[in-house]
Amino acid sequence: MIVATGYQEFDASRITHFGYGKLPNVITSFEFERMVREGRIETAEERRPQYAAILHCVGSRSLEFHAYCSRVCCMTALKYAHELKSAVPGCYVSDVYIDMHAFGKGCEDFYRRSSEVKTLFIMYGKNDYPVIRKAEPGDDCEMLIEVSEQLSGERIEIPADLVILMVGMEARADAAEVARLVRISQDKDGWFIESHPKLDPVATTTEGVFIAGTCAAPKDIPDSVAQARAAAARILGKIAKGIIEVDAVFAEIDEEACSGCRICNELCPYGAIEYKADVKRSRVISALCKACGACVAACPSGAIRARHFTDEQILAEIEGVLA
Amino acid sequence: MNTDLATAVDGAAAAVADGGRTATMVDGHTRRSGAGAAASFQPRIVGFLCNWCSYAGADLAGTSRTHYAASVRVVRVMCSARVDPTFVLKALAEGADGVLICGCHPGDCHYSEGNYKTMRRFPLLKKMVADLGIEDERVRLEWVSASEGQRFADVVNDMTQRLRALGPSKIKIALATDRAER
Repeated sequence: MIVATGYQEFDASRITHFGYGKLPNVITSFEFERMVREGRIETAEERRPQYAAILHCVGSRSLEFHAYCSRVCCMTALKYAHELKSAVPGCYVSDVYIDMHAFGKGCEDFYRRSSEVKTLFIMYGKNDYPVIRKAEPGDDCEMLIEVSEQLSGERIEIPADLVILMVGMEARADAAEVARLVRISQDKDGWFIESHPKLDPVATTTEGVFIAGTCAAPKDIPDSVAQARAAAARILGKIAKGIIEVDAVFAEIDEEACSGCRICNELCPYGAIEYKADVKRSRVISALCKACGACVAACPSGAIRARHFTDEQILAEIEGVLA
Repeated sequence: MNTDLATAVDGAAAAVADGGRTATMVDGHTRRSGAGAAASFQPRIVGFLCNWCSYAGADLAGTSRTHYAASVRVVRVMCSARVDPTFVLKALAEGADGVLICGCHPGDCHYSEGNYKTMRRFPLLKKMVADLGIEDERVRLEWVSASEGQRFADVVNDMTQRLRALGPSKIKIALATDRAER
């Protein structure tokens, strides 16, 4: 099974300084993307924007919301600057950022080219959010953005007819439900945890369940594709074998010792213990058993043995560590 | 081995070997000896860690180079629900000063509900330990996730400190006394 449930966009209205939902010309990156696709970049009043501003790290890299970087927004923002410049010639584009994260192949190059096409880069401080407000009737723009510019140390105002908020990625609201359903874990931000962050980034701690894409962490498209293909390959590898190998770690019931009390039947979360009514004994279906050992510890007759974690082995270990 | 244990138990046990032999007197002695003995006494904790969360958490504490008291000796089990009460009693009988059981946080169990079973069994175990005349603070149940290396270190440090204040376990002292006599 591959879990590829993706992410959800950060709700920009949570940052009140930005006026999203109140100022009609403050839009999210997703809304801008739709405009680009429709080939109509214009304000709510159906005018071509003379001033456009792109605001980075909306919901990301902040103490209040998400501490992590969403990875894709910086480069997307630069792409939007290009889109704006080509669709609305003469439009002044301001790019309001904290740090420019131009990682990976060709990205730094793209950043350099963007600075050459007269995009105005303005740096703001982490947790020192710019404030967007409606312009006065005398101003020749719709809105003004107040920013404490980090490089000059001055508080400046930027004119804008259209503000694009680069909303970050967050784990889906229903991620916890999915995690419970397929028995995988989430980290503190809600992303699914891989089996090993470096050596096994596709598998999870649950056998046969793989993760791909942004359900595991913010990622760009090439990374998502790479992870998805890796997950598919891992599964194909298993299928191609024709047989599924299970770990040799499972429980066994000694039918001689079993009293048929059925305590273990109720305990097993996998329904891996069947009761054989004819002989009044329980039996473990080894292919279903996941070796948690809950039944082993609970059996009043001591009739269940956890392979590789037997009582003898653990007791010997205890003696060993205390010797 | 005898010398090792005697060294670990430190002055308290040595004094006991010379003088009194009953556990009560030993207890009285450690209490009187106060801060000096508490600082030098290094408790031994047997930690039963579940394979999926807590063992990975302890591993993370290691790979993150987190410093913590070198008092815990880890026995890996697949799930905290695998911890048979016998294991805990065995560890205490073998001279452990404390037993720590760690599992996934409630709701996060790799086996869905193993930690809930542990949670239900634990109060009974504590009661049994107390009935046997052992301070029930010597057994502890904690939830440590795979991402909580620091929490694992904090739990071990805290438990070590509490055990230091409590002094060596009566069984450990009795064992040392027995060996010294032989």
